[in-house]
Amino acid sequence: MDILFLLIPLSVILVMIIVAMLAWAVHTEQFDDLEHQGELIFEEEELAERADKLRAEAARKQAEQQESLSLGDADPPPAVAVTRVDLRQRKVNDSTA
Amino acid sequence: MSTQAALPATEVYNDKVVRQFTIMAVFWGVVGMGVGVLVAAQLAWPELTNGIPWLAYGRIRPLHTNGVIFAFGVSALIGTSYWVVQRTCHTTLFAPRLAAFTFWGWQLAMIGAVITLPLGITQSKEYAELEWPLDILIAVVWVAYAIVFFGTIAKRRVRHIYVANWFYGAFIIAVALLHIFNNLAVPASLWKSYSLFAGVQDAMLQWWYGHNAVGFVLTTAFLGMMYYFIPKQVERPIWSYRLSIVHFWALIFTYMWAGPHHLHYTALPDWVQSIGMVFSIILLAPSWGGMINGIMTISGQWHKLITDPVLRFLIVAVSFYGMATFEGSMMSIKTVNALSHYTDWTVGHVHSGALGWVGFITIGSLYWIIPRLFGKTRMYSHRAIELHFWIATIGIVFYIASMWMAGVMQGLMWRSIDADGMLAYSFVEALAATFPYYVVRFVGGAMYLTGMVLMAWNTIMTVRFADTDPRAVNHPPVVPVLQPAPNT
Repeated sequence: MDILFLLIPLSVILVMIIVAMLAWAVHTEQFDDLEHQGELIFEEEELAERADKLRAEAARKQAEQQESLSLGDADPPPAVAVTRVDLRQRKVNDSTA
Repeated sequence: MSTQAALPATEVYNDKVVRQFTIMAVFWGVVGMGVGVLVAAQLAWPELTNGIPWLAYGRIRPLHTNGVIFAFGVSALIGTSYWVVQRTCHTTLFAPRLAAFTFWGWQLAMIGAVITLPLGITQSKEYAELEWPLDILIAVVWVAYAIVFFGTIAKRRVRHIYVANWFYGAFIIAVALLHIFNNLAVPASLWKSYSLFAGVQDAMLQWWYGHNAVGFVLTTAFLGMMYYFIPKQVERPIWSYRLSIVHFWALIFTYMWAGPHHLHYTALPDWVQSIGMVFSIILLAPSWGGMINGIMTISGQWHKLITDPVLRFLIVAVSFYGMATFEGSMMSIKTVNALSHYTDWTVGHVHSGALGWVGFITIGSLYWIIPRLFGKTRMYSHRAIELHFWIATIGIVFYIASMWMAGVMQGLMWRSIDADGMLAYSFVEALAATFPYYVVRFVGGAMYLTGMVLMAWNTIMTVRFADTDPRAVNHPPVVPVLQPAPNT
């Protein structure tokens, strides 16, 4: 069964790779919070809608600002650049609440 | 100051390649299953295509298996994996041109299969029939696929990698390994090569490949599909996320050595056969972990099955997955295998997995994804999905019930001996007794194909005529911009 001299080392290498991947996943805390991760796939739509709204708002504000600048307004309103949603931050807040 | 208030760059999901793979999956489904029905007809009426060499059973049976597994199944897998990995990682595909290459490259390889197999060009290795030039093309496409998929995971904006991606990822790595080692061959000419190994060594390598193809393509990868599309269709998270993680690692740690059960009672050393049997039985536990998780996801929502045929496809798929993995573990036991091996029971077992699990989970997922891919509110015809479900389900029952009966009958006839210790039946007598079952199997397969044709019609009508989703004003869909997770 010479072929086993190929297949068994291959399996051993593969198992070592799997162990390394598992160790990486555990080490990077992939599996630390398994209570909420299943819900993540439902947030993408909600997040997309929110991101759209924020983007639209930012565009509107920017347009207003440019308008006021072109009118020679001395004191333009501060630019709004808060368009990012930090999912991780929100998760932490949710769980501590 | 005002120049810094620039709009964030709008990132758009790369759904073009998903659309392409999805449409081709439906197309190849019709082709692959159509060839399957022809093959089934040839088994019942062998003289059907007499005198046409490129329609000979031995040439087009591999065309059927390659067509349904690699053209239909893998097209659907690559397409859905691109959808899932983008959505769950909140980013677009890494290397979009490479992603486009995976589509065209894979389709080219499949067209190569459609041309070479009927011409009789084959390596004669089951599920690895394609000759070396096509094998090299597949290897290149697969490496590109791995780069796109893992590159997308690497640039994800959320820290957690959703469980479906682990399943898809394991499938990609395992297939690369299996494909390369089982196709090690010395080319003799452009369309002829000889395997690097011979005899039982080659057989062992072949079934190490063959069963792991079942394990990592037909099980692991489609579980990835299940872990995204069942929760989406039920609109509630997977029953136990913890279980999904545990059974994933259990599955990939234990799968690699089930192959020898394909070589029970052959020249393969007895102890290797026993190892294969033991690992095959162990596999039942992680397999059922996935089955339980899928079924339990709809617990409390059972009423949805009454009105939702797409959910029914998905749940019946998981039920067949549970049955087929139980049956497979049992059939790997040597004493059971002594009865079942080489009979049509094996064919019935394979098809309860292929038609029931792989086919239905794919069909259900495609019905979910098609309207969304084309900015529609729903599939064009709900009643066509309903009809598809019942035609296909009854077709499966005809198929596997007839093959179970035929298989057990064949096994019993082959082993029965008369008072003198002579074989009671000749092979041809058993074959003649199988005829009615072959006819029933042909009817079952034809029904399943009819359902697939209905799906193709429904897909075309959806793309062309279904109501456009008013929410799809921002079509193509925009990636929600999240802050990159720290420490990654």
